[in-house]
Amino acid sequence: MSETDIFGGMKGRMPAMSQTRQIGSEPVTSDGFLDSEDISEAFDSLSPENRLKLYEIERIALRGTDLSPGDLLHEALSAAIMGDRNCPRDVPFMAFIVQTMRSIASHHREKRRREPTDGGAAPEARPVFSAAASDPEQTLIERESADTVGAIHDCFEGDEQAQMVVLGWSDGYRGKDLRDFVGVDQTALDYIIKRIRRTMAKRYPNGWKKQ
Amino acid sequence: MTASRKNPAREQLDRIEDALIESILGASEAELREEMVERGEDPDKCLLRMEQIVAGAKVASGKRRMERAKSELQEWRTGQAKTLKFDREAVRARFEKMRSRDPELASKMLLAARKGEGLSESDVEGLIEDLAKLERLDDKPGSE
Repeated sequence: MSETDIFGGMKGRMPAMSQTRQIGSEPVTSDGFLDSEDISEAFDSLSPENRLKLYEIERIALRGTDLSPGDLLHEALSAAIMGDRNCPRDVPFMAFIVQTMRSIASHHREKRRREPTDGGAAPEARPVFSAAASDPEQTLIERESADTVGAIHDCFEGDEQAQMVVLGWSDGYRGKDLRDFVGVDQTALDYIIKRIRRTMAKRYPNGWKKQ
Repeated sequence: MTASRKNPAREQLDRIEDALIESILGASEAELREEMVERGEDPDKCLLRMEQIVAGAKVASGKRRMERAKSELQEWRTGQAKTLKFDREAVRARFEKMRSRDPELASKMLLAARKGEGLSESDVEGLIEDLAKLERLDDKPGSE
């Protein structure tokens, strides 16, 4: 199974917030990290193409949070400028900001899951997967994730190729493995993926929140 | 169609998200613009909105940094005042105790002072500050 590292090696390298070092009010950046001015400059120098990409990626990363479009980017950029999140100099800025947005979204999802429901009690979980049954929170996460995965598949009812691609993605297939799994060449795969992206954008215009 | 049970659903969702993001990163500007227009969004307005978000983030960060700096300065001042006040009173008492209990030390201080005329008030203040510094060093973890 081949998997391209689209995140510039960021996965597993994102410094935790607690690792941030500070002196006074300024983020301390050893030579290995961008400082706050570098962050501002890095963003200012992003091309319109990359900005549109961030705009689109944010919509996807918002899933399951209570945030609105724009909030994630605002938080990610603020965290980077404040030094709460550090961007290694050898990592592409786009990869850093994308992973920071995703990480922040993940924190929001976790926080939301821990909040009591309207009735004041913690959300009751019904067991779906036996492996997670002993941990109600994990069970809830699994249930919500399963619901979303199911809803994504439902978006492509009647489009078997798109369903195959989504299924392949969910099993981690990329490149040749994905082409073989779906049984199409790269041009056809690109076309199917574009179709998936468009359908998803229409189905979830404000991120993958529960509709 | 149901989701595969091979991997936990959360992992599947993360992988789908990875793949979608990968496809966006690989798309051209023209493709993205086309897709936005198709769903009724104006890409140029989106870019303008991005500018506003970034400007907002910069302003908010600037304010937070200023607040953080003020708060840290205030903490430092408060801590500094407390330390000095405490050190000066307590350390002076300890210094006087040491001097009165150790005639040899008192004699050496006299000899070390200017022309054998004894310690001036500023000499004593200086010694108290030195003693306070030594005590702080002793209190630091790892010091012997």
